[in-house]
Amino acid sequence: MFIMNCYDDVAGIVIDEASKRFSPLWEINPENLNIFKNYCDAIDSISKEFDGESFEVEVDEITMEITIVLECFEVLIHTKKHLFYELIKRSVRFGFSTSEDGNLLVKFVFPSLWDRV
Amino acid sequence: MDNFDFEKEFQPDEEMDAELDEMIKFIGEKLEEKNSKDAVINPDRMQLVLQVYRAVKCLTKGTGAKVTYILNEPYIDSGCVEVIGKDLTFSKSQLFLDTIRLASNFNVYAKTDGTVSMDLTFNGLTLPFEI
Repeated sequence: MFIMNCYDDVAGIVIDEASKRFSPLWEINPENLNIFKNYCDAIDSISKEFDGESFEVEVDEITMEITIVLECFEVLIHTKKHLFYELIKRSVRFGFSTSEDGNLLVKFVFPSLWDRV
Repeated sequence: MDNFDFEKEFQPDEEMDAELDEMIKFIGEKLEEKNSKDAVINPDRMQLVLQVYRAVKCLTKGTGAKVTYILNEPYIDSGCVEVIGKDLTFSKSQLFLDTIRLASNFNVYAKTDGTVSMDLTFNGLTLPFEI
């Protein structure tokens, strides 16, 4: 079974394309990118735990915030400490909705990675 | 190979199903036994459910989400705060985390009517009553 990787298979490609559109006025901050890669690793772990089916990544053209949507069956947590909570803490916004297939969509919005040149 | 159990690996499906049925029956009996015992309300836990209900109401203000609380269901010592909405979006991360960490379980799932249900379950709403 092919297991999709959040950064390598989706987010990295979207961020590269966004960086091309935003240049030469904006450039990616390598430190912020590293932090964002850690968020993606955490989302990979969550995806494994909650039987994730797909990722969707978007960059807002105005605010430059990055939205990651994970499609999964459900989120069930029995502990006070969890990676899911850590991601919530670091997101600008987060939320839950349903997909057309009737699955759960978990959305995290993270701050921009780009600095003005 | 770790934890390889030959007997279990090649066990017929019917036997496995019967074993699982037995296990579920056993858990059901245990819960029924617990439910039928005399108990008194745990005021601190009850108060906590109501406080979480108020906090969730505040977090979902203006989103159109429906917030309800259920006490002593499905078992006498449990209850939950349930949030149902089409699109549940939150921006007050810290308040949200402080609130959901008070619950025993946090569960979010999609319902068949296209809405999302976010359940905060609480255990220990009653204390055993002994003379």
